[in-house]
Amino acid sequence: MEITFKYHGRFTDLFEKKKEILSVKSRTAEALRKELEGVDVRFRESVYQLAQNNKIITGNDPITAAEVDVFPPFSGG
Amino acid sequence: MKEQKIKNIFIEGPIPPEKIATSIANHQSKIGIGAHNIFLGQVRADEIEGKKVTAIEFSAQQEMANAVAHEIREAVFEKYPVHCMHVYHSIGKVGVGELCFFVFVSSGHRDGVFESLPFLVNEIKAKVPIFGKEIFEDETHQWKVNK
Repeated sequence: MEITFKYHGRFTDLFEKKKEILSVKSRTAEALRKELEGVDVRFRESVYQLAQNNKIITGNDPITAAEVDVFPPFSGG
Repeated sequence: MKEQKIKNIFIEGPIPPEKIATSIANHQSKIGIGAHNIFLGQVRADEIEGKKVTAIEFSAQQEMANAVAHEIREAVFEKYPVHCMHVYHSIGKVGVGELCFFVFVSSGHRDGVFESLPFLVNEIKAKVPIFGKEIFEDETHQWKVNK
């Protein structure tokens, strides 16, 4: 399935874009992380969280949205 | 628990000091309140590898940030005897010495505000998707990392 990945913070520099559409096979958050890290060293070497529908997703959380946010560690305040 | 609507926590650019004064003044009619506590975040002129920070440019996933801030606010109302609270964070560029984060809690007594404020500030910093880009004098930048 195609997912729009929306990059935030330092990821906008790392990927030199704010979003991109990628075709992925994974159906859960953890599987998606492994898939991304398997194809792109920038994911493998970075600390990040994934979110969909304004919620952080981890482990066996199913991927249900067409858009996934990719967050580096937060640095507000 | 006090139910509240999701609020927009973001203010474009620096938070004017006058907003803090106005916020305090706005509580004079709430006569059940006996204590306020305020946290103000200010952009610091850090020096990193010989270069001085002149500003921080904040970006955020604003819809999620407002939703998470709302959840944190509800958790604070559950956990502490707080009458009201206000959270504001800058979006966009904020120069050194200017305010970027304003958290204001009010309660009947001091314990409520002394205990709730650090929890609220730390939760916002840890869980709300906001990102700071430190801008140096020479217009280069690095992404801020919270300690």
